[in-house]
Amino acid sequence: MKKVKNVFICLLSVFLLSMGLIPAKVHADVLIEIDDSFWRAHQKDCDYLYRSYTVNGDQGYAILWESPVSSRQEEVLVNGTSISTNWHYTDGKGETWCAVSTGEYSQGYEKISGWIKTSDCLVNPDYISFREAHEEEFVEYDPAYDNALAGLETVVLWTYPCSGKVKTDRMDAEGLRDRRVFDICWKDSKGRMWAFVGYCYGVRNTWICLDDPANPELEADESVIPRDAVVYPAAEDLPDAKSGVTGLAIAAVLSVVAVTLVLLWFFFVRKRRKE
Amino acid sequence: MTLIDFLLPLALTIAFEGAVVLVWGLRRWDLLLFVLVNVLTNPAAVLLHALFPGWAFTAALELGVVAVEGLCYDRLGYAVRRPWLFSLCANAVSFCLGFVVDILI
Repeated sequence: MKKVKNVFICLLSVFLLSMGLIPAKVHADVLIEIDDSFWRAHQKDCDYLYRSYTVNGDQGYAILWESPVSSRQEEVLVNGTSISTNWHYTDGKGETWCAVSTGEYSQGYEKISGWIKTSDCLVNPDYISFREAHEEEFVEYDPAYDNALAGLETVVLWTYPCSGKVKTDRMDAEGLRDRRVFDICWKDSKGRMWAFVGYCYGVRNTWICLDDPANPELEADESVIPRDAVVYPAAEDLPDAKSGVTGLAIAAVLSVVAVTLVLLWFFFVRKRRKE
Repeated sequence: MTLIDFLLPLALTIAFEGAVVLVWGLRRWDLLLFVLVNVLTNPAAVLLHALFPGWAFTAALELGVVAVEGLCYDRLGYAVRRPWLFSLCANAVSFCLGFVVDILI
């Protein structure tokens, strides 16, 4: 009976050990999954949203953490550093974090360099910023623009109106001739009508200027998205990233080990010698 | 790192390995030995893992823990049957269950 029990325990141990060695199954969908244990454990609480940021810590730098719940610092980023992310997480205290992308992939998973608080960053203006600033000015599509793309082979798509940032200057106009793709429009200060394009031939969340759809030289207007946030200067000297382990913790652990060794000697060596 | 960063893994380790202890039939002084051995190895392993994260070092660390605990059970245990096997099984169970808990939390 004891032999059977021992065999059972061994088999159970091997089974549990093998479970930890089996790699997670990759889900085949359009979401970019990341190679990170915190993300895997909190995937349902993370929002899939691409945004780019500029580091803007109030001390001239910001910390890149191992995870939103870790005290280990992966890196210290100086203000002005550009980062991008596909995943955001909001913790129990309401702090929003983003997984900083490295741009590299391993076995189909995107590699990240760590997690950073979005409060330590400035979001780079994008279509979301534009919507937040001008949502109340959006109007419905005007059928007068039904022939705006007539005769054009390609059109220009922008990150947002008057951004000066071209997303693509070679979008096939055929994909946009159906007026139903334009459900949100906005008129700029120069009277030009812009339309939001949610998706077209793989390109997402862009705007097209209906009054000048093929012109890639439309000038930028920085006043379109006001920048009220304080921009902190970059620090000249950056601190080293901390492992999260203090000298006090090391001393405490060494003390515990020493005391335990003494107890082991007292109860299991000295006592046995007396017996 | 705070006190809870050491106490929680230690408590979970003792709980998980305690199940193996019950099945293995450890009694009396060997129960005390089991607790002391885990107090000896677990906080140090947690500290070393925090200082040197990475799967390769973690694997080596776990093997080291198995070796240290196996040695203690072998040399100091009163009636620990197959002490090295017990150390391997107990640590395998706590490692895997800890992995599951880490995912669930």
